[in-house]
Order: sequence, then C-alpha cells, then structure tokens
Amino acid sequence: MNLKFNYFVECFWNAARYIPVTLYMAVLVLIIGFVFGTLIALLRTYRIKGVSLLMDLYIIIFKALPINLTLVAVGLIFATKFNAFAEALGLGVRVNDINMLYIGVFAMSFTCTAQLSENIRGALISIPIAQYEAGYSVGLTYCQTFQRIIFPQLLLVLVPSLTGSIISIMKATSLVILIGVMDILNGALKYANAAYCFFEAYLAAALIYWIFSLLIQWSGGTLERHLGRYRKE
Amino acid sequence: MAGGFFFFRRVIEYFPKVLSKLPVTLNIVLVSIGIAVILATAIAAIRIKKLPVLSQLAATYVSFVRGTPILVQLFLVYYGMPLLITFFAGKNITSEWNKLIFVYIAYGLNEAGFLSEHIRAAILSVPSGQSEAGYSVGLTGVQTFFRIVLPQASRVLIPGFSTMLVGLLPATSLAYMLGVTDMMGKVKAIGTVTFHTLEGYFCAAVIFVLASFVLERIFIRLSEQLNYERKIKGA
Repeated sequence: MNLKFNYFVECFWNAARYIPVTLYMAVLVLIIGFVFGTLIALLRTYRIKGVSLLMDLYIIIFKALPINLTLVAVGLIFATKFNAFAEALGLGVRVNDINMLYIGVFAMSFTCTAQLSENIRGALISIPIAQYEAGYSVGLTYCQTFQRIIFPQLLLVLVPSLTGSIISIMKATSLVILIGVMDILNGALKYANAAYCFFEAYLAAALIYWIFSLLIQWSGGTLERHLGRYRKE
Repeated sequence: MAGGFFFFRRVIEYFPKVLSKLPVTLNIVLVSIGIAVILATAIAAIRIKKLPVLSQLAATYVSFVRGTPILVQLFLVYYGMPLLITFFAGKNITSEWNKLIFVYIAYGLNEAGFLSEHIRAAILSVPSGQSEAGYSVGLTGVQTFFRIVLPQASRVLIPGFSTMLVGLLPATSLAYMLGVTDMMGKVKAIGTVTFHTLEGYFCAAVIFVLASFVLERIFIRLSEQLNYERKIKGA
C-alpha cells in the first residue's frame, strides 16, 4: 500500500506539538461545563419553578444541535458583531485581539454543559430518597447528609458517565478546525498540506486522540475501582 | 462580509430550501445505522463468544472507534478506502464513487463500535439461567437465542439504541465536509450565492431540534410498548 511511514512520523510530531492546545481547550470546556452543568442539574432535579422549564428547553435544544453548527454560527456572529459590541461597552479589545481558541471554547461549552448536566442529573436522581431520610433520621443536617451519605454514592455513579463525557469533549475539540484554531488535527494537516499526505496526517492525529482516550478511560476505571472499594457485591 | 445581519424575512425564504435537504440527513442516519446493526451484531457475537484473535481485534477496533473523533474517522475512510481498493483491486475509485458512500461507511463503522457495546451489554444482561432453561426444554442454541434471549435483550437495548440514533442525527452534519449537500451543505451553498449564512444556520438549527424531538418521542413510545411488565402492573 502506498503509505509513507516517514510522512506519518513527521505528521505525528507536527501534531504532537499542539497537544497542549487541545488539552487546554478540553479542560476549559470541562470546567465551564461542569460548573454550569451542576447548576442546571440542580435546578432541574429540585424543579425550581419557571427556571427549570427554561433549563429543560436549553437541554433539548443543545442536545439536538450539532457542535459544528454552534461553532460556525458563534464564530460568524463573533466576527461580524464583536467590534460593535466592544465599542458599545467601551472596551479596548477588537476581533483581531482575541484568540479564536476562546471562541471555540465558548461555543463548545453550550453543548458540553448540556451533556454534563445530564450526567450529573442522572447521578443525582439515582440516589434513593430513603438515603436522605436515613441521614435525617440519625440527626444529620441537610449539608451533613449530602456530604457524608449522598456525595460518596453520587461520585461512584458519576465517574463512569463523566469519563465518557470527558472523552467525547476531547474528541469534539477537533472541530475547532472549522474556525481555524491550531490543534492536534490542524497541526497534522498543516504538514499534510505541504507534503500532500492526508491519510497519514489523519492517521497520526487519530493515534494521538486514541492514546489520550485510553489514558482517560484508564484513569476513570482506576478512580471507579478506588471509589467502589467499600461497595459490597 | 455582509452575513452578520439577521433578517427574519430571509429565514422564511431559506427555510424550505434547507428543509428540502433533511431527507439527505435522514438517509445517512438510516443507511449507516443499517450497516452498524449488522457489523455491531457480528462484533458483539465475536466478543461474547471470546473467539481467539478475532475477539482482541474486535476490542481494539471498538476502542479505536470510541477513542477518535468522527471527523478524523470520516477523512480516514475518505482517504483510506481508495488506498485500500487501489492496493487490492488495482483501480482508483476516488472520483468514481459517490461521496455519500464514504459517508455511509464512515458513520456505519463508527456507530458499529458504539452499538456493539450496547448489544453486548444487553445480551449479557439476560441471566444465563434463561439460556439454560431454554436448553432444558430441548431448544437448540439458535432457537434459545431468538426465542428466549433476544426478546429480553432487545428491551434492554432499546433505550441505549434510541439515544444513539437521536445522537447520530446531529453527528451526521459533518458529512458536508466531504462535499455532500446535506442541510449544512445547503446552508453553505446559499451562503456562497447570497453572502448570508446566519439565517441558514438558524433554519438548520430549528430543523435539527424539531427532528430530534420527534425522533425521541417515537422511541419513548416504542420503549413504553416494549415495557411489558409495567403494562401488566397497570392493568
């Protein structure tokens, strides 16, 4: 087969240089998604009037929207509207001053918030109410019950689904190629554009993503075993 | 670029044009799910039976598919398939084949990886006592599988399968990157002619949300119908 190994190696090292960018984006999206996801999950689980309905709508919309659509639409709005917006606020920044990376993070956060909030909500409602009641019956306050009884059980349910979400967030960051951010995939393709070895470039990028997915999977599994060490079968 | 202005009049104008490409998206979903079901069943069977070598290969395949972005897989198929076919059959297919075929294969291979895990979990969720009960009344292995195990496993499978199918709908929107004119491709095409894309994206977004919602409702109905136990309790 017409596959040049030296091109592959070259693509691999070119892509590997941008690993920090991809990880940086994934971590930022994860933090934003986790904070807002928890908030939304709490609002929806405890059915705060009005707000929870709005949040339901948010989840329905952003579960159905492709990330690439959100990404290009946000990129487009940003490119055309940001200057006027910044001027109105009296800010000194302009479109060219802002790294597109943050626009990518901003756009991806919407979808990932929805995804993470579903994970967290799933974990929250998996704990039977009797567990709270048991806590109260021995005289614990709500905070104590949550911290000592609910949270440890919650974590055990959350870790596997969270592992899956972290992997899918890391994979989704490959879409920032659409707004021109240099990440792992774009780094590999930059070399491919010159050497015309696209298959090798995608293979090299795939290998890097795969390695990180396996690492995340492994850490998740280890954490789950550690957290579940007291669980009786 | 004059695309920044958002006019509702243009939304109404573009909506039918974008909507006319919804069948392309649904087509990709259906064909790739078809490929995925066949392949995933084979992978699940190999992994459950623990066939030597094949089982390890299948596990590696599933891990690769789940661990790499679909965007990368799409282009791996697009650039890789012609290489493979040139190597084995000695002819170049890049320009001959419809781009849609690569999309079908890429999404089919991708979904097979995810679906095989669902199928495997569903089949393993049926207690082995059920198969043994089948054997004890004289059913063969095939009969036991189709009459005893499969009906029970399918009930476990439906929720995961439906989530996957509803998730595939937005995921197929990357097909336009190979030059297939699906909804996103149509928006791009409108954009190159009129220089207005934001309204097109808005139309596509509305269609995606509505289509997902309808699809999800259908599956909720289906899983309610398959939920025999609750029906008996309710009666």
